[in-house]
Amino acid sequence: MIERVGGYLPSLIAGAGLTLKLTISAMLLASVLGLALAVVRFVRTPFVAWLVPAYVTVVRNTPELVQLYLFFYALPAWGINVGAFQTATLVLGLHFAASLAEVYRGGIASIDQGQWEAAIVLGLPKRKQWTRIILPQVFRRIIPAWGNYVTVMVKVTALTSVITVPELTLVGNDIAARNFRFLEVFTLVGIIYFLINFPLSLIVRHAERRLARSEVTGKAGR
Amino acid sequence: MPDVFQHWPRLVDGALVTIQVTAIATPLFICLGLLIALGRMSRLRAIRWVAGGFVEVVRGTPFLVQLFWLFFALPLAGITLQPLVAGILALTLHFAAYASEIFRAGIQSIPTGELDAAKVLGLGSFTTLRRVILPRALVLLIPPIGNNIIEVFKATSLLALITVDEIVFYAQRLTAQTRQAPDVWILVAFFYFIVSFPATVGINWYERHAARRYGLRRSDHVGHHDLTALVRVARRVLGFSATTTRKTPPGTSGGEE
Repeated sequence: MIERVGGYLPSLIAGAGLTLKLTISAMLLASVLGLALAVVRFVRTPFVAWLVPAYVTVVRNTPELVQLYLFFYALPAWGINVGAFQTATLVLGLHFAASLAEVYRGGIASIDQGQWEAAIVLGLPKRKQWTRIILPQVFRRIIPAWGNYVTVMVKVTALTSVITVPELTLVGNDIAARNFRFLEVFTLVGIIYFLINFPLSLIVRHAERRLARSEVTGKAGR
Repeated sequence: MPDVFQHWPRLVDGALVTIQVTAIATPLFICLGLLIALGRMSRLRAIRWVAGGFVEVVRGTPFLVQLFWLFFALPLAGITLQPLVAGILALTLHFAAYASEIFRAGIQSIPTGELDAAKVLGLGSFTTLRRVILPRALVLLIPPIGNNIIEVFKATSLLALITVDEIVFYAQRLTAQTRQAPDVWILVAFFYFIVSFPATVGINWYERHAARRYGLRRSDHVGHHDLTALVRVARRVLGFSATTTRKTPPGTSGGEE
């Protein structure tokens, strides 16, 4: 059994590679878009300030699977013909942008008012206030939550198998169905996901502990 | 657009199944989650290790893979499950792991002073659990558990992939039949939204108002069984804090006020 299973490993690893590619692309999109959404919320334009919570609420209260199906069929209907991987990146990016927007929002709100006052007193323009003072601190604080969402993203990529993205779950499904070896293959798929996610979650927990320590001892964090 | 609405009845059938599955899985995953949380705090290392291992594995793998494993892989080991059973089992196991983390955090956030009071009063472990730990933890836990229930509700969408006839399953059929695929999926998304959104609002409301009412509620219920409430009220009145013997976990002193 082990030898037979060993033969499947290369294809499964290739699928896992695509899983990671998808995770990275979608996380990139989600991080950038989420940051934009969160910042927009604090810059007080009344119309736009309403759009962001509405977007976040709608996206977070709908299942990812339904969103995937929707865009998979809607994009071609609107004349946009992109591949499955691109569609998956777009949908997952949009979905996690909503969650990350909330994470950023919490991070921004947790910045001491004194930081803003100092920035204003120093005569920094709005943009420099954000990029020089506020955001660097926000990024440090949200690393645990952000890292946690990376592990969530790795697991959600499994859903994109229904959109024909050849990531780990679809490849595993395919091999299992063709060789009728569901037990071994799916167990192996589970193990591979675990081997990807468990170290990630350990890193996140480690980062959480180090950040908590440095917050207690002060900004220098030593 | 009118084209899609004529298929409304079948989508509603599926929607009902979605809600039923959620309603069945919810008490199951909560109970199992509590058991696992207690297992992780057990004095026996073997139980701690098994419970902890289960949680790590379940949280580290996608729900879809777990679902497929229970439905496609188990039959080859001799256990064949019907789609609905496999689906509910998968939901229960998966979300019990997440719930156990919530319970564990909640139980560990009880100020140790109350546990000391319970020990002084001679309350056994089970009574302590029932009268001291759970009432306090419950108020803290309802928002996260509520969010998990909403997650279960959204996760039932995956059960369509093992032929459970809930709303996504019907929607897949409809997409094949009609040419209005995007509209069908917008309808489905709308269903999830109109159930999930009010629930989220309700949880946020509870989170904001329960904290205020918590202090009042315990002294409201001072009765012949509530020695612990008496102890706590007495401690509060006499100005005792919970930091006499051990360090209070951060964030709980707000409850003592």
